[in-house]
Amino acid sequence: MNQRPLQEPTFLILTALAAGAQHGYGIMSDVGQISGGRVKLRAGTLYAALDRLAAERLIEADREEVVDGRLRRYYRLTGPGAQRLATEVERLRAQAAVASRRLDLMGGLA
Amino acid sequence: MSGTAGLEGRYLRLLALYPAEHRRAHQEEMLGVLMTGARAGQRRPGLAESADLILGALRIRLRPAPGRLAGALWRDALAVVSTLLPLITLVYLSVLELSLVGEHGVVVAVFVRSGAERLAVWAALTACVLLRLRRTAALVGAGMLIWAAAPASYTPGWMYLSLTDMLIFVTLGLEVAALLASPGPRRGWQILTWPGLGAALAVPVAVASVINWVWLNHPFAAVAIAIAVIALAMAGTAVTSALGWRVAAPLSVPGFYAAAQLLVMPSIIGTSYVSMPGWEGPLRITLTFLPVAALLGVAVAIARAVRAGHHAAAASGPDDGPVQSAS
Repeated sequence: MNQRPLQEPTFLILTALAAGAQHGYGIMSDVGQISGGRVKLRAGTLYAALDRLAAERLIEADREEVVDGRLRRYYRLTGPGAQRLATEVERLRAQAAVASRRLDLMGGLA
Repeated sequence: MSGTAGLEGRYLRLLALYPAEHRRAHQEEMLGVLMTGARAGQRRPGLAESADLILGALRIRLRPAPGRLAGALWRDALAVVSTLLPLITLVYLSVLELSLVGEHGVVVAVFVRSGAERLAVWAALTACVLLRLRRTAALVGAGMLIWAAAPASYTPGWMYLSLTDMLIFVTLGLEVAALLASPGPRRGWQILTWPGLGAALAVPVAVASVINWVWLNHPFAAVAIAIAVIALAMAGTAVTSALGWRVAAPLSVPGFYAAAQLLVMPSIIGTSYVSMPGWEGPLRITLTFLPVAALLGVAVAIARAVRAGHHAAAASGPDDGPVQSAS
């Protein structure tokens, strides 16, 4: 429906979780990789986003484990979360297609 | 080893900025992420990282509570306001009356325009609050408001409405509104703690004492102390909790008039009681109506937010539940 576009960090976090459940540090590293190192997510931004996404029920806690005496909580995408990401992907794809067609047209004219 | 412990301690100090509920759920986990991301031998959090943690804490704190929770918090806050306001006013007026036994009593009594009958009706309102009689208290408050407002209705114009008049009107108006919009003193007494009540009543005792016994000899110092006490009490209440700022916000309106009436001498006929050129006229009118303009602004902002909330609720479908206004 008439949803606002996702902000880039949110889009990248949901994309990271689309590959499967991940813990906080894993999400941070993955977001760096997905964006080709352009987006460097820090802990404060990440947890503010996770808090909001969990409140909107787009993600949920999956499991916890303790590694080297440190707690790791894994998060996973929910059904509505996957749906929201799919809607966003469709929106971006449609826009990119229009842009691409117009560029082709321009190339044809030149 | 001590470097790691030092870094962890510094991260913990930054994480202390997050709300208690968030800390309980995520502090250990966030500390794990931060320590995993730390460079070998790092002793302090980086500047950008610290700023990001502070902003994250701010973002989580400023996030509006879910509709129903915010509504319950406002009702609780107004219940506390309805319980405290008559007590604070009665204590304030009673301490002012004590000056009548002092040598400067008559002058001070004229300055504050206080009277025995006013004290009696506030005592009646306080009794209703102590007995948890919400509806009776609202009736007594509404009666007092009409009685207080009647003389103002046949004064020649808004020019002659003094800040003291406004203090009385907004205090009574807020009390009646808080009683009607909340479960009232029954809930207020459940929430209030003894230290909280003591701190709330210390404010009118301090302000009235300063007016009584410091003002005549050191007027500027007295005004400065009284305004500082009121401002600090408001700020102190506001930062305590999600309930605290909701209690402080409505109380800040009578708080403003209590402070402003010390700056501008009360006048019955529109001329300054003590000759202070410049205090009459535009400045006094601005001070008198500033909160009214501010309240109108807040009302417009709330109305726009409620409309935006309805649009968001309509757009996000039935799954999200009803979005209630926070007002």
